[in-house]
Amino acid sequence: MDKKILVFLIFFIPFVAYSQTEPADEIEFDINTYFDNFRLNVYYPYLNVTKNLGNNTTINGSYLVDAISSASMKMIFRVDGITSATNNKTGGSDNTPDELRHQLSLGITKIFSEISVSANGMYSIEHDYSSKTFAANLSIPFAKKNTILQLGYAGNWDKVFPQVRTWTKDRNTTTINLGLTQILSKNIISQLDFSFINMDGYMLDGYQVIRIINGSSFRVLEPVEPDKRVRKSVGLRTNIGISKNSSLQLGYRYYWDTWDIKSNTIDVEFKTHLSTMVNMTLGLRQYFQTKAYFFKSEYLTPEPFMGVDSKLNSGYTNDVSIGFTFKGDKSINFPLLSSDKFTLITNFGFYHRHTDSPDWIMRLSDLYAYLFTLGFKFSI
Amino acid sequence: MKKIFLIITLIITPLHLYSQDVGKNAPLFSGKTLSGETINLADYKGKVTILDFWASWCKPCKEEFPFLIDLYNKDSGKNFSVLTVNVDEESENIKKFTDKLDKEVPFKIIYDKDKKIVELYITESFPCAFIIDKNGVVRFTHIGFVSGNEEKYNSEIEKLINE
Amino acid sequence: MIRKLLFVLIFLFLVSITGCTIVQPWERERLADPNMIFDENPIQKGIKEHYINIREGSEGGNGSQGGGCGCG
Repeated sequence: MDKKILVFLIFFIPFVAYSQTEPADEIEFDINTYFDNFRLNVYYPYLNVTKNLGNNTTINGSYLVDAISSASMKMIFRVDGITSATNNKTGGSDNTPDELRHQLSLGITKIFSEISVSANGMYSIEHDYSSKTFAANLSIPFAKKNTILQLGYAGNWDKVFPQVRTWTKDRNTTTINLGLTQILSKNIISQLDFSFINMDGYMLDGYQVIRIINGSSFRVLEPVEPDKRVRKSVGLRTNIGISKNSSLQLGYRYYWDTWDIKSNTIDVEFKTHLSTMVNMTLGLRQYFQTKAYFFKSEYLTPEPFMGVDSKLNSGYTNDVSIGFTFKGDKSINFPLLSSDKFTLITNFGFYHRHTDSPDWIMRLSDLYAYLFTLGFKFSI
Repeated sequence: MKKIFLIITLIITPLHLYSQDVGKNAPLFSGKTLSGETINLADYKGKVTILDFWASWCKPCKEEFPFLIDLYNKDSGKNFSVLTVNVDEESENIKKFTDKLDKEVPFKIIYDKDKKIVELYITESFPCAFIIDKNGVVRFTHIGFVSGNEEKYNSEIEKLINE
Repeated sequence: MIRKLLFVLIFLFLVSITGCTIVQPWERERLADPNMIFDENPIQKGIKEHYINIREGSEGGNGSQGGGCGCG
């Protein structure tokens, strides 16, 4: 179920935070894949369309499918405990996904004089989960656009109804974002970001279980987590133009919440124009996290709060990525790439997560994941 | 404590309320094109003039230029004219920019190498167009350019021509 | 302690930016480069955060699209 948590926010906040420049008219189609050694495979094709309506108004629409496959395993609830993907009901072959999530979003951006206002709505559905989201964002420039203040709000209303349970539970999330982008010099720009997230309701994965070990036997209980969580973070990043063709982005984020999880994230991104048509991005990210106060890798007796989700465990991650964009040009004698309205996007990523105790179901402390994106962008 | 920090930081964040040049006489200047020709804004008095500031690295400028060319060609310079001022650091960028256009540029492009002309006008960003009436007074300004706003330009020019 | 220190650093950062020289619109050629824009492709950023958030316990503070020449 973790994959569902705040997915809306991920695709959402970047869209609502346009600066004063109106988004370009374009269509982007991406094929994204994720594979890891926890036997999770995800394919998520994504389509996004942006169109200017005139009168400083732009609309945006997107559609995404999450197709999740994981190796089936014997579980008491006949559910894949890793991904919460329920077994394929139709008993299809290994090529059919275990779970499909559909997500549709629509948004509008309008520029009033210099101020940008946007609103977005999103709906996501799969057979055991639904999510509705509304978000709004305000972007105000100051000092000849040397300073931009951004205010964002998002409300999220989820319903969780696991196939193996008889109930439906709610989860509501409110997010407030405050951002400040500041030009520091002709080739340095910085951004400061505050986030406040308030979560209420059922925050668990309905398919995960707690094993209470008693000698050679064990019994299985449902996890119990607090039904409230307040999450705060502050991030600072800076883009430095280090040469005519290259830039270096340095970022740091500190996060803390009421479940006692604290984390530090450091990321570095190097971008360079290899030619007028090819751009390369190298990324490196390091992340360190403490565990939730109620998290234990195993329980000997039932406790008021019990959670075994590896996301709540202490540990660290390493993340490296390399990406290329190819802008079309009339001089290239190749389909699509001969049009200057076309951009090809590729990205490869390797992600490693280490937790201080083994994962509850895979019994592994190290997760290795590989990611690949192939994208096609057309100006219209 | 956190609220106090937030309030203080919002207050001290620089706040600049720019003022338009609308209603004032357009500051006069003279500048040179890439071919060395001297152009004086004063020579455009008597005609409605679009004075446009732009840069080759400005994405909306790439959309605006074809529109200005079409606008100029429709009238062929009889009742109104277009004068553009480029602010690039390197002059060769002007030719690279105009070479990529599908049409020839029929109006003058001044290269403002020392940025003395652009400093006379209050420009927040590019492109920035000032529509000047026959008496040399700035009557309308357009900051930025988005396709779909062409009708606004047309109606403003029409109004000033008919005055 | 670290949170208080963080707030002080942020406050100092914000105070210091008020003393920054204003970069004029015609001086923003470098900043107009897509490589200098934060989250120039927000879709790609969203995709990256998609897989990160299913594996980690943190959320938010990742910034938003911004920067550029401010051209309209």
